Amino acid sequence: MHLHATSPNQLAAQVRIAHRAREKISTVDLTALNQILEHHPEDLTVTVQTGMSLQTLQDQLGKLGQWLPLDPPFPVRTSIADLLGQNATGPRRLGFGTARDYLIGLKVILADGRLIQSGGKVVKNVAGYDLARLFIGSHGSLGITVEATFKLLPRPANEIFLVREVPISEWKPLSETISSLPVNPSVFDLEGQSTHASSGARMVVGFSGTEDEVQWQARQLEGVGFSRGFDLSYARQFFEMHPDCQMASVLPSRLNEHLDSIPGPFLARAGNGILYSPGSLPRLEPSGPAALSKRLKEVFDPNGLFPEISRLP
Amino acid sequence: MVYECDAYTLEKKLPQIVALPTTTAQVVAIVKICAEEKIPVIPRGAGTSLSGAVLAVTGGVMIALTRMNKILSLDPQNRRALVEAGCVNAWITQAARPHGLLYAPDPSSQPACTIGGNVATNSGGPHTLKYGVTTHHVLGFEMVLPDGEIAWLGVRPDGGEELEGYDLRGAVIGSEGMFGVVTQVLVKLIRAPQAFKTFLAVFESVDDASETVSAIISAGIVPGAMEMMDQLITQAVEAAYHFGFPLDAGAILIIELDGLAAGLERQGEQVAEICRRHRAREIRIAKSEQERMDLWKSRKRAFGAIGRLSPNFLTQDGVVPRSKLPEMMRFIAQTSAEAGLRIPNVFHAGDGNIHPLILYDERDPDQVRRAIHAGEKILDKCIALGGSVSGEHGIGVEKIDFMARQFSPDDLQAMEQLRSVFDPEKRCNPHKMFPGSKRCADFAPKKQIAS
Repeated sequence: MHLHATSPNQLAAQVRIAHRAREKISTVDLTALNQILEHHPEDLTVTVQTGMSLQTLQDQLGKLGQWLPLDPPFPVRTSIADLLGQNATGPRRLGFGTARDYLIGLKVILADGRLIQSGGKVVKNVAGYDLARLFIGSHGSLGITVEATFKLLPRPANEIFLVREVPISEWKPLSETISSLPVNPSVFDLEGQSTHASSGARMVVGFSGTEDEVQWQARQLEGVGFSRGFDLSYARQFFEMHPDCQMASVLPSRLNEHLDSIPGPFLARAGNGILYSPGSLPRLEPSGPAALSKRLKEVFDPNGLFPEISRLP
Repeated sequence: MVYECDAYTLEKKLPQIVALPTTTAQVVAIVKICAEEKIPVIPRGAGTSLSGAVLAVTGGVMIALTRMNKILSLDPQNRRALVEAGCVNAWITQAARPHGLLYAPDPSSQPACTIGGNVATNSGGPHTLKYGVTTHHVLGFEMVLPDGEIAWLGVRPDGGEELEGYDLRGAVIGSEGMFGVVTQVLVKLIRAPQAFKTFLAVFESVDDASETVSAIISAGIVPGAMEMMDQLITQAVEAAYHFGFPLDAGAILIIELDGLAAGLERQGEQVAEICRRHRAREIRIAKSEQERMDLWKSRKRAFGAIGRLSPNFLTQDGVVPRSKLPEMMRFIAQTSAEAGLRIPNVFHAGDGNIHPLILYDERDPDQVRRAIHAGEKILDKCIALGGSVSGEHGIGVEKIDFMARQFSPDDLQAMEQLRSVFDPEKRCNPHKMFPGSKRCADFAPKKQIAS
């Protein structure tokens, strides 16, 4: 069954119909749920309908010098629902974290059509269980998110991205040098066409913050051979060129070992130990015992209306 | 008797047995026996809960994790530490400090509270304004489920941060010990800030101080911490700890900026300017690390200074949007006047997380009644202003009646559904959080006075 509604209540009613008919829901069109419901700049919070694209949200927040510090590669075609369902991230994951660091409230339509809320609109809140967490990275398998409240940050006053070409065999010592510097990068990526020891790779380090902080840190990196004037378009280009990427996640200190086994092009979030490559990669580890996940799915979606959770390519 | 209550002393009930295991295997054995005999299990850390989360309402077996308190490993390169659930919060930062690292969530009880308890409560503290709360710093943990199975949820000590599947780890954090017994915790460590600029700003009124908090955030500055203390609490804290707080200020703000030294000068000037614009009559900056530590020590021990003011007090833990702080503080003053009880305030102004402390004397049943009623009015106002009835202390038994005011029946049902995934028999820390819970048989303020 394909769902498409102009309001959360209408959508909930459609889900109730699907629930009674025990009909699987194939797609949900949230494009009509595209409004910012509340933005309190003085509180650094925003409540937004999940059909809005991330880019549109950022444009609106940007007018008041604020942003949701999440930067997946295609913000124009990533809705807030996608952002949450996929736990989508980008290069600034190192410095700013993931959706888990910003979601403070969520309204969801469950498999029986109930519209529920978890969390709220304030940045500190421990009333009740943190149900909202379960929907991040759940790929729409537990319910339909319709409204999300995020805590925001002021847009950084300045950002500088630096780059250095380095043979693969030398990237690890260089990254150790950078770790020993008194700097706090918001971006630390490694990108290359091949992981052979002699192949060249690109190391990108970024800083976000006040003018003074960012300039000072940039100078530290220049001191070890990095050049200014770079930008983050490589991150988007990588996924444009390789739309069917796999993702692996390892202990950051072990990234080097895993790099050796990758045959082709790769993009690594070196600071986080995350690897993207069109080739095959080791699977992500499970978030918990299979039995618990299975019970969770059964409790919230006993008739299997929503798709099974599965990692998107 | 230590185990008959936690820091919420209004209700007391002894468990039938208190077990103090030293290994996960022992925890499993105890939990399995309880599962067979259908006995409630009550996990306990240091018992510092302020909401009665560790109260053994219908007896049962209390499993105190305090003997499982070791730091098992510390990985400075990957910025992680693996600790037993009974490890004291402050010990983690102590162990990490030589590596230039620290564990960020710093509840005021941190010299005593355990990381397992922090997981149960999703604890906060003053520095959560910039760094987030426990759920943002706990990567994963080992937990014994109510049926005795051992589960690892979340990131593993040698594993990557991105996982496949549901964030069960996140769902358990803040579940107030109702989903199982956490035995080991993998925490994230952060780099200690290079430098601090810690302000003590003195205001004539709570209003001016509250507006300053909002103005700093609006200016795009996110300090590491912003704490407020009103006159009454400042006087008590000064009498107890002799830091040098002014005794006649309407309110004081502790504002701490942290980060690279290169950035702090200008940000500090901006903060000072905003304070002056809101009529700060004095702005002091901590001149040394020692002065900074003393300032925080005094702030974090504020609750301990209340004894000078009153034999008893009720700790509230509401949250309002920051911009509503001035209105909320005025409401608290009004409520205080109407109740005829003093209500000092010391709290995380930067998060809008208030801690009005309702002073009363338990020997006077009328004061007890007025205190409880004042607390209820304050929490109702938090809900009305779009906030929450609990910012960090949790629901426990104390705020059960408020769950139905903040959440709809459907919301609560969804929470019960989640609970059934972990504890279908509702035996793990039962009679907490949800309306319709059994109340402590001894609960009657008059009886507390007698005992």
